[in-house]
Amino acid sequence: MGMQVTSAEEQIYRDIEHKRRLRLAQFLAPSLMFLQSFVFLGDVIAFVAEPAKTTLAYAGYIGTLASFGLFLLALPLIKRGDLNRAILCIVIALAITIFSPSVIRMAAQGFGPTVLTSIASYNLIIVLVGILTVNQAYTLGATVAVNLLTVGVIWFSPRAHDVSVAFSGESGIVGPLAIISQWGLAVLLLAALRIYTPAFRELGETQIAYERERQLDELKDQFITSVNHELRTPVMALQGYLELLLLKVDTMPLEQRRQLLIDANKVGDDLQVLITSILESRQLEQQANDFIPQAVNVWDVLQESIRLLNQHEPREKRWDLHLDIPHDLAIWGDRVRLQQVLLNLLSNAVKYSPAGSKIVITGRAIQKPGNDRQGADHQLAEIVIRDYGLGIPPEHIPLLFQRFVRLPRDLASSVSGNGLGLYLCQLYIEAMKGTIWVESTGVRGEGSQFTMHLPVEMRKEAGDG
Amino acid sequence: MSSPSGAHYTVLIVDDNPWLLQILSTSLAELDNLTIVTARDGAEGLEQFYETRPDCAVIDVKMPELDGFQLVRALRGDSETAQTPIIILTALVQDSARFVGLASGADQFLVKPVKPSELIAAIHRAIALRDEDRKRRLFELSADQPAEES
Repeated sequence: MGMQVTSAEEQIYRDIEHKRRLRLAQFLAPSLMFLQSFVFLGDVIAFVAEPAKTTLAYAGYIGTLASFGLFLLALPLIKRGDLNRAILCIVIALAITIFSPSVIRMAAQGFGPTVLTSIASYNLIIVLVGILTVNQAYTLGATVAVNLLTVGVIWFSPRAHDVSVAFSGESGIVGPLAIISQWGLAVLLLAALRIYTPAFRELGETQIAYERERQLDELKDQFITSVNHELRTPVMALQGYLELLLLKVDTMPLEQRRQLLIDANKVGDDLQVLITSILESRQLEQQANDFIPQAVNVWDVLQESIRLLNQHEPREKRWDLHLDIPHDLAIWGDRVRLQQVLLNLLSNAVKYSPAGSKIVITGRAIQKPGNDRQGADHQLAEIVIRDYGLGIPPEHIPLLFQRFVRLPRDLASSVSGNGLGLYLCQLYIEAMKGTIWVESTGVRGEGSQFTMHLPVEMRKEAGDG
Repeated sequence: MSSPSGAHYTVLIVDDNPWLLQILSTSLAELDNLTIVTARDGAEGLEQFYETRPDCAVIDVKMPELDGFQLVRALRGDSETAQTPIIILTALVQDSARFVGLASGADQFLVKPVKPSELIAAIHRAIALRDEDRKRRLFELSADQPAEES
């Protein structure tokens, strides 16, 4: 269900989450600080009013001061975008703020109504951790920590004399009740997380899809610029031939005129191929499924493709071709389409590799674990074309098989192309119920590897199964 | 070496498209009695320039090795070649390209497609303007000379 994303796109998910938590922290830190200042004030009054201070009470006062300091520390951390530390500061500061008054009270009067009230506010810590981390484990951890804190405060605090009488019958209920309410809160938070996480994922996918569309649009603009260039030069050449003939029609020897016309005709042919490939891509798309599938021998088709490649490519550009394909490997599809795909991939491999560089073509039958209704394994033919040329920058791979897409690198160079080759490869492979993908590090010399999986000949599959 | 009319000029054309090079060299030679030297890329263009010392250079922008703008800058950087008229011939229509072209020191900027006759006219115009410019400067120099001496 989820879409394939690159590591660069994975960053989009993280960015969305980072922004959300940053906004939350930006709001929470000053708001909680404001509330904390009242606690601070209460502690100052208690400090002045209380004549006898125990070590525990001092610890409480220091805690309040420390939490104030932590809130202050969180502000620049948020500004710097150091979110994890900022969140840690806010959570600890809140925990201390909530906990320290009960410590002070406890030290002064033992377990009493104030302490009891503050136990209720321990819940805030669970909520804060839940919404800031959006993480099940952290939320559960915070709940357990708050449980322990509650148990500790209730069971191990010194009892004030009169209070212990008042609570004598109920102290056994206060603790479990508090803990149950804390878990209730945790359950609510986890439920919210369950709904939130997929919604967040969907938002991320929408953004990625939008980002891809935007890039595609940009590439199309670049493509138009590139086609503009590709068309203008042959048109100028054609005009050159025509004008020369026009101006010299009376004086030029017949043989020379004939030669000029032959050359002009060749330029016209090139121009026609270019225009056809651009304008008729929609038509090719409609005709992609227009074939009757039959067994096609991969080796034979590959040999034919190599022969065609030799015709197209200039002689001076030699390459080091390695073939490793069983001669009886056959696919279930269309001969013409497979040949077109292999020719496109091979000519790309040649086009984007230095002269004489190695190109390896391997083919084999593979077993694919069945995920169909019968659950039976089915056989596939795997064809891999590996070159050691320029490679493809990984960030451009998701768009590579799209119509009219050319790499920014190629648009800037003199390498010609119409951005349709790989698009047609994918179109044809998918028409034959196969898949095609590419792997590349984008490092020059490491090249790229195109892999195709195609259904094998039916008869063979039945025999083997 | 160059008289104002009916002059015999040598023109260097640098472009990576072999068809265009072929028809330009044929038609420019046929139509205007120009001697044409050609190069397939910027590096070869630079080499040919120093070898043949053309009266004018027509340079494409998008080329392997050294692109057109780099070639123009290289030629303008050398005082020996700085005065030769240069025509940038390109398929890039964007204004930014135009700006870089002019800033790099080209005399003219033509956008493909251009007919041979138009290119010939542009070559003559560029050479004429340079000649005029040179004469004007020589005149200013000779006018300055006595003033400095006195």
